Amino acid sequence: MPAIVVENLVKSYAKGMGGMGGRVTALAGVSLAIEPGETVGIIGPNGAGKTTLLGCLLGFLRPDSGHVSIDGRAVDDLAVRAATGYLPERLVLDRWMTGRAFMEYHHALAKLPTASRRADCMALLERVGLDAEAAGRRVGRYSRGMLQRLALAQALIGSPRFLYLDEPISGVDPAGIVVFRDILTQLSASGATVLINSHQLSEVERVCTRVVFVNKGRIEAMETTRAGAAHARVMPALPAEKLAALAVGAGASFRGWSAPDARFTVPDDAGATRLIAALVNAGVAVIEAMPDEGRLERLFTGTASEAPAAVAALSPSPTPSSGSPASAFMPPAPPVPPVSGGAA
Amino acid sequence: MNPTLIHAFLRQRLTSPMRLGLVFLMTIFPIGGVAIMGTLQVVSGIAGPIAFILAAGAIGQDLSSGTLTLLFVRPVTRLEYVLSRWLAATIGAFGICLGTYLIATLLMIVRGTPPEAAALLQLVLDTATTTAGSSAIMIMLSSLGGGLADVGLWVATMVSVQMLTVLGQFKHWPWLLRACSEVQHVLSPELSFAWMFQHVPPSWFAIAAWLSTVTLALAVANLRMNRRELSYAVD
Repeated sequence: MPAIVVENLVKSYAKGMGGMGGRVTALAGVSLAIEPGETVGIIGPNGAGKTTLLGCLLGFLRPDSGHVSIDGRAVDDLAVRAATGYLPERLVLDRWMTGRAFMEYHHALAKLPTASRRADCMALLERVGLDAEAAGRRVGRYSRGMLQRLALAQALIGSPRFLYLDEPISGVDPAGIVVFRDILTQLSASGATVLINSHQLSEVERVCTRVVFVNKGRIEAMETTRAGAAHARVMPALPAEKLAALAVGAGASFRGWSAPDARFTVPDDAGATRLIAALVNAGVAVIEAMPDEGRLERLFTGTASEAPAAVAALSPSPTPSSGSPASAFMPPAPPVPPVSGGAA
Repeated sequence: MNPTLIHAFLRQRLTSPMRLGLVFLMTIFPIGGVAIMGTLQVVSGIAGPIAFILAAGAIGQDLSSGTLTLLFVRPVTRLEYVLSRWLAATIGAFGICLGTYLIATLLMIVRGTPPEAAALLQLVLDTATTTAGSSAIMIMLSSLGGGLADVGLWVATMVSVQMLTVLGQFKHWPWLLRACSEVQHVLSPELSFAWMFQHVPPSWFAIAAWLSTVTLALAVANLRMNRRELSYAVD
């Protein structure tokens, strides 16, 4: 059973004073099913309806029509809420509390055991990189990055099974991003279902197993992403026909040659490994292999259909030439239709 | 009721320099009056204003700051939130009043004119109902708008009532005077326990009126909160 089910969700807002300006549709029939343990990214332009979708999933907003269920229950079911964590985009935390008091306040609101409160909160603060000094400081004196870390720690209270992250790495330094990735990896391994609303497309592509592209209140595309593709650069280059034959033999497909790079489509990470092995066994020195970065950017800018789903590059020279396209192995990413209705 | 919410609200209110300053001003002059005049009568009117100071913005400030989204992700119902805010404001105001009465009583003892136990007990009972009633009204008004809109609503209604009272007196319209009087009672719900000490039957109408006002105010606040959507997308 999917962890989160959204069926034909419609939500509109009144426009102007007292709704005199009519209504503007934020969600126009969104349907979506998210399996337990999935990490799903929601991307789309400003005003696309991403935050409204998140608001409906969290029970903050009442849809005009449609249905949302979490673990088979209503979104405002207290059992669902007890298993939910949320990192808001706008970090309006209780500024008068210290970081530790803020954590303990939310730990108590989550109705978690008092006996382990202090230890749980300090462990979470440490996990996001906030030390004892920061924990004792008032939230009002936190920097933007510290607030983001504190909000993430707060979202992790009670080891939530459903985690909603709205722009989770906005304002976070590189070290914080590494911490964030580690936490997401651990959450994913623990079976938590994670939804990430973000404009950081490269990060979404890196951490999510699936990406939902929302535009004008509709889901326009869903893409599965891969995890841990290899980067390859090889020499000497072989003829295109030979590369195509090697690819077919390894269960991949040759997408084209653009010196010094060649692009392939592979089914998954194991397929990438098979292809690299096939290339090496054929006497091709694999210098480098990497994912097809920027696929989400193309999706975002509306050129996804023109882009290959996956690429790999072969270079006749070990020295990469500047301005060459990224060389990569990527699993195929055919658009996945939404559960029912609503998708363009 | 949620002890965590009550505790956090009291801590926030009682560490706010602005509110503490207002509470100080509201209590220091009556205490001075007791020291001079030697009667508890001087401090008997502080309960309503102190409840007003503590409860102002109880919900509205959470609404406008955006902290409610994090709160309602937790397993906390909106009714629990409303009732906890009301109870916290009532407990806070009642506690401050009790402290003030204690100081006033000590001053009177020092002056050699200790208050009668019955008068003190009636003052405490009256204070309990006044703080609970005024807090309920402020919680209701606070649920209607963000920030300190409740203060504006309360003041605007009181000013309007005063103007209409003057109009009623000028035009000799008893119905208008009665209506204004009722509105004032609703905005400042009080219940006197004088009957208990004067050995007269209680006014069941007054008790029912106070109870219905408090219940209605909290019901309106809860209804408003249940209907309210929480997102900066709908601001």
